Amino acid sequence: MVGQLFRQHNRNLVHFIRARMSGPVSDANEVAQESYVRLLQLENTGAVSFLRAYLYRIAANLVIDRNLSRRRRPELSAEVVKEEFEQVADPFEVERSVLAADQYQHLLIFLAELSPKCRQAFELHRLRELPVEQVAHEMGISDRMVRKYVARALIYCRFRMDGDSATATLEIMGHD
Amino acid sequence: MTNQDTPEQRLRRHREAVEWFFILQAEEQSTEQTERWIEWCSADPANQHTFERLLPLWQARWAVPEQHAAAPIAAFARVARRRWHLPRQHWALLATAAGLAVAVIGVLLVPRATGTLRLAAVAQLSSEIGQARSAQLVDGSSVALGGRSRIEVHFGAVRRDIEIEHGEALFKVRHDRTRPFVVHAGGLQVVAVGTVFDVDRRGSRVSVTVQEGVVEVSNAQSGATGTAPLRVARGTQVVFDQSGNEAPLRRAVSPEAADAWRRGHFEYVAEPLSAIIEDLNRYSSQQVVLQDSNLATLRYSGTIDVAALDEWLRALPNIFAVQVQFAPDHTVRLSGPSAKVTGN
Repeated sequence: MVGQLFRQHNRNLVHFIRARMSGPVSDANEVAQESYVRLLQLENTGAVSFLRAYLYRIAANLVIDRNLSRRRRPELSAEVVKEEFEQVADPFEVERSVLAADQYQHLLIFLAELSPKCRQAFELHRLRELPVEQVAHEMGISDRMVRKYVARALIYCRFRMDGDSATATLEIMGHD
Repeated sequence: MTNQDTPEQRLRRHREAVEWFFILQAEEQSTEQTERWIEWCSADPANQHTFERLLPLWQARWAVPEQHAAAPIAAFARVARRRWHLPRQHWALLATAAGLAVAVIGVLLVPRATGTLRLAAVAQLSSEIGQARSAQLVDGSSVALGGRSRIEVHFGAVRRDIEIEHGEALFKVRHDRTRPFVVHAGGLQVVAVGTVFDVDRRGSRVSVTVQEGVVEVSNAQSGATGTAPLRVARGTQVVFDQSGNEAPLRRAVSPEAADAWRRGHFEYVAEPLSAIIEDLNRYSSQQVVLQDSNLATLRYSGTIDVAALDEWLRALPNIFAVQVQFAPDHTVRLSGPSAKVTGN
């Protein structure tokens, strides 16, 4: 049953972890693996829907642990899961899902096209990983505005990296 | 997939994806939320695709290999940030408690200015640990040098050049439109016309803080990006790190922040521990040594008074998983946690 869950949900699970975690993709993969191990160690395994909810709960807690402690590289005790993981682990385009160094340079260039506040919010929250509340405090704006700026910067840069011109992107998104 | 979207649909999808980032990021996570997100992903392949395409930008901080290496530490630094609000009395209490256990007192040297010097058009000026020096330059500008700092002055007919070899200096620039005043720090160039500003160079990390007027900063090492000079105005600090690919950080500061160090006062926002230690070591006879290179990237936010440096050091294990050892040779050694800390 865990194997089935794995095949159906691994991609979502890794995305879920990445959205929450401060760390590289390799760490997210480790957390995903450990989540399956923990799930397998449960005494009573019920319906898949229950398991799925449980899986995400485990993953969420592991991310918190990992963000809080220096603990690294969990011991993989369940060999079965490990094998399963290696078999199914469609490398889910890790390469494509990580920003290459030159793309990072492009990101910086596109960020520079944004208004200073928008750029600053993105830099502080995403590049420095300061919590939204702290960014809001530092910039003297509301949490909501921080999220709005960060969203704008993310989407603007994605569109620009997808080949849209600055003019076209602003036309779609509107100005600040 | 997304190609079939109208521009409005495409924008909406992207906005929804980013909203999910913020929801998923929250520490408290309900099962219903997760279920709703999975539903959203599977409702339309374009949703999942959009989410996936935005993830690398959301995680842009982890784009560069050198930053991968710092992963566990950076994750760890989040704790520090969360706890930096520790009230002052607490610090004092912790420090007192620690003080009873470790009775080593370092000699602290709060920077004290000595008499004003006059420098020639071509000159050098350097200072010892804890010594602050100020000097008048031939054009009427002046410079205040931080502890253990060294600058070279090269004033020509068309330019006034100053190189910061290491350390920190505050400049008060005499207006002269015909001869730009240019401060070099590593690959960084700070150009001023008439203004007061501070440049702090710690290895590859350089911060520029402007107290009056405007300066223009350009980075020789960012040739690849070819960006225009950055204008930094009064009450702004910009931090450049030339070792990594971290974007220059710009933040608002009070104008007094530019020379707060002259009063033995340091203020940081998410500053790497290595840079902080380099600052502090300029003012304390007790040199702090980072024994574990992993510690260098821990980020600290908060204020430090040079006069209360010992207390700060003793309280450090309460913020980070570090061990602080006051050695007999007047060094303070910071090392990583012992094995017992890393357990479950």
